[in-house]
Amino acid sequence: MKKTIPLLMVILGGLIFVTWAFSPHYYIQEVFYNQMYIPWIYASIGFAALLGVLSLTLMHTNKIKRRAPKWQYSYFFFASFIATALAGFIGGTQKGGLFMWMFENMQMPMSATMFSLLAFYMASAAYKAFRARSPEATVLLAAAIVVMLAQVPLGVKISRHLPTISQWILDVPNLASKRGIMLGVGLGSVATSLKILLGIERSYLGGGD
Amino acid sequence: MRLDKRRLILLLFMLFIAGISLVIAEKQEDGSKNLIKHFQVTDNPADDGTGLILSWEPLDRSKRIIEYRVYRGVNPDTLFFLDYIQVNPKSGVAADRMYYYDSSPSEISDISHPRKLKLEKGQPKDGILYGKPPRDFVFSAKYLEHFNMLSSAKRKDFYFKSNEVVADSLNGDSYAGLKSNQQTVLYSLKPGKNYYYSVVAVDERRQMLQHTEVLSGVPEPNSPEAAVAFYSVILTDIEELRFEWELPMNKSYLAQYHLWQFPDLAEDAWEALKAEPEQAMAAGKMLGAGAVGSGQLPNYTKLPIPGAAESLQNAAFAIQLVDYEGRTSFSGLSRPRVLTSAALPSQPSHRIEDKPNDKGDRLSVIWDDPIVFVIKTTSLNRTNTRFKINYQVNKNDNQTVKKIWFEFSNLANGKNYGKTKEFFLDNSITLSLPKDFDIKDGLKVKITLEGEPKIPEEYVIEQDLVYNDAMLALLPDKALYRNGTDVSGIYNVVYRKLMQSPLWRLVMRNTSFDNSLDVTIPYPSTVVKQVKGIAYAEGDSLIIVDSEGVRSSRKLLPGESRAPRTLLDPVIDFHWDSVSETPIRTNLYAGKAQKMYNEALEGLNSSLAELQAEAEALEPDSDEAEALDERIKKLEAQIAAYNSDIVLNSFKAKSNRQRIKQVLKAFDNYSRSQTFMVVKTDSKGLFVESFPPENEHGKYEYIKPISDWFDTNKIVTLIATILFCIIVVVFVFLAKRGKDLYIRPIAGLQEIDNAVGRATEMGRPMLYCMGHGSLSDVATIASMGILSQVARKAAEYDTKLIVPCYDYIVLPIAQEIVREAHYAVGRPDSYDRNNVFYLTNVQFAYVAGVNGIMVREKVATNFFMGYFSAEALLMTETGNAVGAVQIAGTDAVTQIPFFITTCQYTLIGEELYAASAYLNRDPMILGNLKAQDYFKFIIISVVLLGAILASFEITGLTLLLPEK
Repeated sequence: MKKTIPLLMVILGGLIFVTWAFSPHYYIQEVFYNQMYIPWIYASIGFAALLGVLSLTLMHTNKIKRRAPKWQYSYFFFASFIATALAGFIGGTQKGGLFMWMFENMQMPMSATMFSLLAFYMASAAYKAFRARSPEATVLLAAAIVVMLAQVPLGVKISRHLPTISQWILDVPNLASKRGIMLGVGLGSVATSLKILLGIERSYLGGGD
Repeated sequence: MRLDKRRLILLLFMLFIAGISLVIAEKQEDGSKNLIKHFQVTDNPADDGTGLILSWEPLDRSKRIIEYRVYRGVNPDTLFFLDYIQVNPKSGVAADRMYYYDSSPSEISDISHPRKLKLEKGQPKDGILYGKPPRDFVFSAKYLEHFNMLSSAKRKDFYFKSNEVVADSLNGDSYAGLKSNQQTVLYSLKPGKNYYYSVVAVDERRQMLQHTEVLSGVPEPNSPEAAVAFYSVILTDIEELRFEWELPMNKSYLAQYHLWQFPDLAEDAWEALKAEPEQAMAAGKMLGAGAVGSGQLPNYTKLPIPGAAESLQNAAFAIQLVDYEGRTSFSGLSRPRVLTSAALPSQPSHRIEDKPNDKGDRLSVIWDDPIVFVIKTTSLNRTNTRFKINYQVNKNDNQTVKKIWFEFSNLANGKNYGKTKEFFLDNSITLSLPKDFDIKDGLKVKITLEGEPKIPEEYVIEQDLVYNDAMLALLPDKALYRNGTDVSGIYNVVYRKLMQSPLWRLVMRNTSFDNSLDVTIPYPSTVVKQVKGIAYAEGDSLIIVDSEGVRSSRKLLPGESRAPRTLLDPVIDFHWDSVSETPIRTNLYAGKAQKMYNEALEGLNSSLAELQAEAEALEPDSDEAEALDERIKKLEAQIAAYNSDIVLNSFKAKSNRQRIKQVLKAFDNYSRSQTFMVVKTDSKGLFVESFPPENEHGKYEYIKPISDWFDTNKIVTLIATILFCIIVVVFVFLAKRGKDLYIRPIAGLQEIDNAVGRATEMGRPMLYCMGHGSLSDVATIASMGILSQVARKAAEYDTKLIVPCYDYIVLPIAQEIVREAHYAVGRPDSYDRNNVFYLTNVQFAYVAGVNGIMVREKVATNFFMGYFSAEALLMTETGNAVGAVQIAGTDAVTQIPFFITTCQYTLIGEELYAASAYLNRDPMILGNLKAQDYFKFIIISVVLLGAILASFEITGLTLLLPEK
């Protein structure tokens, strides 16, 4: 019973959404989806967020209690969590308030810093990928050189055919393999959805099988 | 001079003082520089007295202004936020003056408004600027005498949740009362009232600078603007006068037009005459009149020539626009073009079809075959003899174009370059021309089509592609020839007529490049009504303030609600009787509805009795008797409409709610039925109307959009899904019967055991990331299957498994999966709920958190299974740096290369989905996986077959498959 009822709910919900995908009818698209489903989603998001906040609070409380390694950082969590929440609740989340100021001047620069690290990591990943250790890696290296050179004016100086070759690499072998993966992904998605609908896949119920 | 320690300190101190002085000077900057100058409030010319224009000089760009906020009130010490104009702080405002037109309704009460009067941030206690008006009808009632108010409520709130408010218990007048949380109330200016305004600039730091002085303005009704353009045509052979005009921008106040004939006057003389409308009217002769309907009605008309055609030889015409208050204005004089009916555009014909595969809110009006035209050409070689030609196909969903032939010839010498057949419509063709082609000669392209419904063979579209010196390319000329006639100056204007209205209303003006129009007919979702008053309780009295601000009161009735409400007209549309063309209206409340019905019926019956009495006194066959007989028949039809089943049944409903449901059903049944007409016009008086479809009784046929239950575009998808289901069921059945199903080894999954073993040996924890997908992502669900297996192994070996979650909805499921895994291997004691936790749902904050965990915990093994974006590489490189073994799997195509380069093993795309089958070896899941492989084989076969068939111009299979 513990799993049968959720399973039935999922199957029923799945079938409703299969109908939603194939039927443009007013009752399905408007009455069910826009007027019922979407407001329910918005209503339930708040409760789900509460779960996350509780989990995070419990974890950091335990860390502090158990004096786990680097437990001092957990105070930063509580401090920033309380400060952000108070700023939002008291001053509002609109531009000009403390909340938005913190978002723009603290979170955004920190996110940008993390994102900018990507450039360096990409360089190191490229170095690993382009080492000509095997015939496949050598092909990858050659293709990468052509594509990268074609993006800069020097490439056209070397040969005016370079952009055409680069575009061909991107449009033919690269796109073909991408589409192959996407085809598999699409089919896999359908298969997984079907597994859920038929009750074969039950990992989302929490028990693995 | 040596810079010793003392001097250095002195220098630093001086620099510090200078810095402080600069900051203070900056702060004490002359306040006048922040003041908006030359603020003005003026009446909106050419309106009905419901608009004012605010203007001011914008502040300098250096002030970094992001918006100008406008405040309005009815006295100078309380101004409410009205609206704002956004400004780019970097570029500022280029114009010398900024303008704000206060002429449309804005919100006085909405669910988003504060409950109490609230000063704007930064305003002193005695400040005059307030935020939005409070959501308090006791407060709003004070403004009823100053503003017109409209209520906009959700349909179900108005029809089913409003309460009857009896305004006067003596005569029983009642209204529909709606509470503040059930509606948005809008307010707009009233003519002749005084309003106060101020404008405030807000800088980049969201600080409100000094507001302007408070100025007042009174909106006054003015004469309407004259017609922008007015054309007249005399068609001599059919003895008709045709007029067409263009209305001014402010057309919502226009009620009527009058057409006048004048002697041909000089411009100056006409300008002087039209300045005195009364004199102008005395000097001219009125030819006709009609309704403008706020610019929604047709802007053309035709009249028979009054008297002899020669009398118009020296005539000129003008149009006089009249607003709802009777104020008028004359256009310029139009000297008619004298033509014959041969100059008219061809007779348009149209058909109306339901738009397929929609929710029933669109109809298609189609007036032409599909139109194909060239939009761009690109030279593909240096000699300009190869071109990529982009074309556009304008067609309706109900039309199909199967093939297009493009025939090119030299525009200069007529040399033919042959035909190009386009059998797969990808909106571009490649054209190769002989080497002697000179691009400056240009090209002529002749386009013929084949499609469904059948396109006539003689249907030809032609265009000239002319060399453009500036663009150095061949560009299509403005002219578009349809069967040899240039139609580029002809417009197809679509008008609609509702069943319950006698008037045609403008829908859209289309060019000749369009062949159809999809008209949206939305389902009604809101009810907009004039606010007749506001009622609220005060002590034991109910105070009622009417729309003029007059206050009255009565005792509260027992059990009557004290909640403040707006008072709206409870009379609603019910039924349209198409035989007698009678609208039947009813009241929201059953008692009043019955009374209304009885009164209407009594009125009709007494009128009928009077007419019948009159008819008896007349000669039986006289003209008067016949006319009276017509009126009697109409009255009888109207009485029959009132006694129809649909009306009578509504009174038999079990409850008022049921009655309103019936009323709404009847209303929806006719209110969305429409018919259409297409007018072909050159916009200068030469127009021809199409004939709207008629039924067998010779009346207009009205069409209502149909809500489709199945999207026929998805039929192939449905068949493919069913086929796939069948294959899955077959293989699951085979697997259950014990058939050995082979799955190729996936290295990444085989290595899971080793990876867990390594972490155990090293005594370090493992990390499992499920990506940033939500529970609705298939990758996340696939990841859960793998998490289950990894958690079992971790529990068996007693290795710590850390699962930081990105999505709080995924969190409890992940916790449950890990808990179940520990229970399944008999190690419930080793399960620590705190190892599966929510981290954050901010992308890079999540990366920072995960990277921190990797470094602090010195993880031995990382699993990245799920949907990933830019964070993938940041996490896996950190994992590399701490020396962890990494196994990744994702269906995000863009991240696969990063995982391959930085992780030891990667599950590519669908391998991720196959993982749970591979690890579980459950026959059900194995069967599913096998079915997937076979279905993939079918897809590849169809792709190959489609490619081969398309190479032989057989595109049926390609077109059969959905594009999206």
